Amino acid sequence: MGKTVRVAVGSVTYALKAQEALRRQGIRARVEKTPNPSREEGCGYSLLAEASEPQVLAVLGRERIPVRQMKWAP
Amino acid sequence: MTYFDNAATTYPKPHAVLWEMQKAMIRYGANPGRGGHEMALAAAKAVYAARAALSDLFDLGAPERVIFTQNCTQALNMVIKGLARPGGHFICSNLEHNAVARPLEALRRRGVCNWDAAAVGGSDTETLSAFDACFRPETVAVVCTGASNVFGRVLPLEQLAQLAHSHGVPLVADLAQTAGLLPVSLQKSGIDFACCPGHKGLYGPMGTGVLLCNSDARLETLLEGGTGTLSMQLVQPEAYPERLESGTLNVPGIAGLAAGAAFVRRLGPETIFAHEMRLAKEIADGLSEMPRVRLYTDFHNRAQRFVPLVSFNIAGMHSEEVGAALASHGFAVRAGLHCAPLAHRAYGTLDTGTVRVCPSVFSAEKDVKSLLNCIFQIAKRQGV
Repeated sequence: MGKTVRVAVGSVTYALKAQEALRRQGIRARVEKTPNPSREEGCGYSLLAEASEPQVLAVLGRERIPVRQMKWAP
Repeated sequence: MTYFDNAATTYPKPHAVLWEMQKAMIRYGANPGRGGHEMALAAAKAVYAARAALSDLFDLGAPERVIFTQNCTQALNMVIKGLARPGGHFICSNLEHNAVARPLEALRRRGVCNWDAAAVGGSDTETLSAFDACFRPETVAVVCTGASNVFGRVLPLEQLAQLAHSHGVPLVADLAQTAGLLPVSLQKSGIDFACCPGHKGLYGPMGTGVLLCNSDARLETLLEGGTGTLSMQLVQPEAYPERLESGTLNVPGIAGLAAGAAFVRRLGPETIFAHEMRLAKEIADGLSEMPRVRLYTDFHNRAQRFVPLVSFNIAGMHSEEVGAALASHGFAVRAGLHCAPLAHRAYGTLDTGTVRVCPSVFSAEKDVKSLLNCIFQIAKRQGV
């Protein structure tokens, strides 16, 4: 993968919905367990998306998928 | 055995249902929404695909609002008890199954809510008027079957949704007898919560059901537990579907249900309905010509709509006797009260119950002819 952004969305359902929504926009994304979940929340799922933050936020916003955290993935 | 008990559960199931369940046991053996490994994600994708397929079939537009349950009864309990408020009031019809009547009565006996059953009239207009008369300031919801599981009568759910909304309350629909037969668009119909069994008209396995949430009305939870997310928090998550799905899902069942829904979508509910109604009418027409047989389903009544099931009795015999006689000749039907005492009270059949015959998409005309012949012989022996 090239430049990627990690988006924590919470449940695996939302992660898969987000993956499908991104795929429809031509954005590749992989679902994974959130590697460093916050101590306040605990477990959850994230997407590694090959896109910019604004692109990803725009797609997820249209689908009403809540974003818990977002940052560049190394 | 010739199976006509499809209103209880459809049999047989499409081969794809069996295949997908077996495949799930082998390929999706990990718990979805818990681990991050390959098989867990594969299982999660299979479950999500099932949500998406059901969301499409019912035009819900939101896979995450498809909640898997173990049956329609559980879905109804979740919504009824989820909406209940102290001092509240529910309205249902007088044809409801105990899946609606018993949770309402349980709430009443606990002093939480009251409820009234509106009389289904000779026409939809009369039915709507009866429901309208039941509203109170404290009414919290209307709960209504899409069709009677005993007499097949279809109720006007879209108009009831409009009526409920005009009073500021949601409509909860029990689609046990109509899912997969009467197409419904949740986004267009106004139905707020739709409860469906997976194992009847959707041709999935027993042990599956769905609750389709087309409303933002908040449901208090019946079940709290592990959801695979937000594990540090001791409070149940707010977002669907996890809010209403605690514990491990029935993944093989869901895979089977998805295959059943795909089968229904491929054939088309209208095609399935047409086939089954043709057979049901043939059964009703045959029964109507038999002496000593009382038929309770009148498909010729143009003011009313029906799903394809038929209820009848033979004079001088309890319905269970008839059911047993048919079973001894290899015909599977259901006799008695069908878990619907309200409906039997409405039709005056509480003492005898009825014999219910319900074809499926797999039923054939030759089966109908054999069944009618057998009923004729039973009735004839009774008359001697």
